[in-house]
Amino acid sequence: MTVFLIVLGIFVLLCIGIILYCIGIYNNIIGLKNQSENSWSQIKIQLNRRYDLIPNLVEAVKGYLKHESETLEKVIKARNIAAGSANISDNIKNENMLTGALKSLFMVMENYPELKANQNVMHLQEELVSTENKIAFSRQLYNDSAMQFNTLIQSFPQNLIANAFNFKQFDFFNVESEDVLKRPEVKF
Amino acid sequence: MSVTPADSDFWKLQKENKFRFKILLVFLFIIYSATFYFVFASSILIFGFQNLLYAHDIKNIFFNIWFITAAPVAGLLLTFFQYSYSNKNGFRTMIDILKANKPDPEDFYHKQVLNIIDEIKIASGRRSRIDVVILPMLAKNVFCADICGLKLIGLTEGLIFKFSRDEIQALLAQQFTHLINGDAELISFICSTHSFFNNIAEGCFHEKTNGLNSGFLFCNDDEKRFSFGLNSVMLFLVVSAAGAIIKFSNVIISRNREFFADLKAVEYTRNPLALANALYKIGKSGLSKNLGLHQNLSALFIAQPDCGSINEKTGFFYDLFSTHPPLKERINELLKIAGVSIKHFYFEKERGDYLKLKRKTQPTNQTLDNSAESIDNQTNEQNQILQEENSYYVFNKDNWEGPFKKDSLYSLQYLMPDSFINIAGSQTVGKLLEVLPEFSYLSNKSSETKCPRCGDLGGSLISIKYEYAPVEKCRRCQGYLIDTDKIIRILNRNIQKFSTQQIKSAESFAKSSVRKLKKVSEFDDSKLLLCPKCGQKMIRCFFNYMDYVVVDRCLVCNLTWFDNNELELIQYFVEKRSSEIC
Repeated sequence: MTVFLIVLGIFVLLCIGIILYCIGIYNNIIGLKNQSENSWSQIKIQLNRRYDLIPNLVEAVKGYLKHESETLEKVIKARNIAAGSANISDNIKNENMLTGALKSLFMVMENYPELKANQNVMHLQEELVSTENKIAFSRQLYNDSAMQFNTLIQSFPQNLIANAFNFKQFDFFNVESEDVLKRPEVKF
Repeated sequence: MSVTPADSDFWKLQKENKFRFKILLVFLFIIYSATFYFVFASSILIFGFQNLLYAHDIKNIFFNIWFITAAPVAGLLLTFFQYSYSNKNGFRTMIDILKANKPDPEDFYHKQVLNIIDEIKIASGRRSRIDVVILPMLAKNVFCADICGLKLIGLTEGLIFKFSRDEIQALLAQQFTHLINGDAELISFICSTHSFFNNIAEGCFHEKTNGLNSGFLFCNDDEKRFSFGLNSVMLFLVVSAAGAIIKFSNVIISRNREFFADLKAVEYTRNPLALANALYKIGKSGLSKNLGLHQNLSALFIAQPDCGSINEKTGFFYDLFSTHPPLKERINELLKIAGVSIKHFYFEKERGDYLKLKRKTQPTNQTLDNSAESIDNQTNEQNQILQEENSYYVFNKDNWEGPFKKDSLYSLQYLMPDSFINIAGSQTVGKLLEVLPEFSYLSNKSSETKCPRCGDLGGSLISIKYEYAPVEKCRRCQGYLIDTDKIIRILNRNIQKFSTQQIKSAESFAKSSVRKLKKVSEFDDSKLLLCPKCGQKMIRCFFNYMDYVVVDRCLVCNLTWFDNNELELIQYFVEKRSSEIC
């Protein structure tokens, strides 16, 4: 009887230990999931800010860039497509297109020194550059969080809990544009 | 939650810093207790109070129960006082010494710094509040401090303008790391404590000045002076020793933190080359030194700001006593991460510096006249293009008037937001605000201020950006009214190009006998101006005693009035001097 009670006690303790361990794993997964989702929401905030800034910048520079109407049109088009994206993977693809279009606009602006004299344009450009950086850093943070989350839910025994509660992997914000992937020229 | 190896290092370091902070407080407590014990005992011996304590020999005095109890209590109280003093005053004193200001969001470069701070917060995923201050000096350096939970990053004006956006971002990320891992808190406290010791130590031997007894334990009574003086000497010795030990502890924890912060900054910005470039520039700039700081505060900066620094040398002695690792070692580590050859980096840098120097020294080797002429030649072509590009015709009372340069448009009293403008050489006609959006201030004319020089003649001040800084300019006489604190910002920037006329007039002013006059009234004896903001009389003074340009200042509103071309004149002299120094 005593032996039975001891075995039962050990079994109950083991069960409690396993349950607590599972709760711990579940909480870890939830924590990382929330972190990834929060990082994603940060990206959305910055993307919306970018959608608001682009028309203002285009409006301010179009007087100077009369011969670059094609570039400006591309930016506006890419902006409208990105703003109307239906899901996350579409959004990631369209945002990469918009980033590429904006980069070519900034390169074109470099060729017009009179734009630098226009402080209004300079302010808008700075805001947009800052927003671009914030988007890049938010993506960086999102990718780091998503990687942590994905690694966790694929590892054993965490994958058992993840499958039981139907946790899905997060998509990475990958760079798809060939221009972006080109090795940058090192300048000092 | 699982953490990456980098994160675990980070938390470990943060934990270590907290532990070191506690150790430091205990250490201070021991030092203070020992000091009090020593001072109590020596006072008894010197003043002959042995009878009061029934202690007739030295042994009884030194092992007296009262001393053994009172000294730790006094030590504890002083440690607590020291801690609260550092929290409350150390930071404020430092800001006062450096004359730091909050960034002006209307200023392009200041706004850029604020944006970069936001970017780094996002990159790190931490939302802690960080204040930014700008030091109005031409030096190039950056520091961080954390006292009583108030996290602060400071940059000099020189750095903000001369460094690229990526370089500033890398430097701020580096400082941000110091703030969040607890380095800054520890170093700030050590610096503040060290200053506290130094102030006391210096106070011991302070001489009687201006009839006031400013020295610590200073006594007028000749008989007692010796005994008080002896006490001061002992206290000075103990305090100096404690100060030296504190400084030593500062050295022990200083070196690796910079390497760690560099790596963490690269993790945030993913741009090691920008940080390497920034550190190289700081190291190269002679102006990064001599910030006018007390040596105690130098550990807070990214690079040692004092002259005669031992930081750049290596070896056992230098490793022991320097507060920063050599910049070259830090740069080399960053270049390894960037995958850039160290030899190639320095070769390119030195070639760039040589070409820059060559360009700068060419005009200074010639006479003043020749320098003006050579600048003329260089800028003539550019000016012609600018004149053609920036000339405008304005439609006024059924006639087209002009051509006017953009600057001259500000002085046109009849200019309205819906005035028609034609760009010279083109067929385009448009409304003023469509062609030149920077004239949007005309829409709210009612808020204009009267010009202190020509207000009675209808002159009014308008808010414009000059060198990307907000200033007020008179539309009629072209004078500038500027917040005195913002002047250093403008003088530090050289975006605005000087016209041929301005260079010639500056050179003739430099040579003229007017500069030999020593009284302001000999330069300008016109009636004193009234401040347009408060209505008080402005004082007339020289801007500095090198250029003898007379300006008017309102000390109440902290404003400075520059007549037409005076600001450009000072800017020209400052730029010329800085190019000569380089």
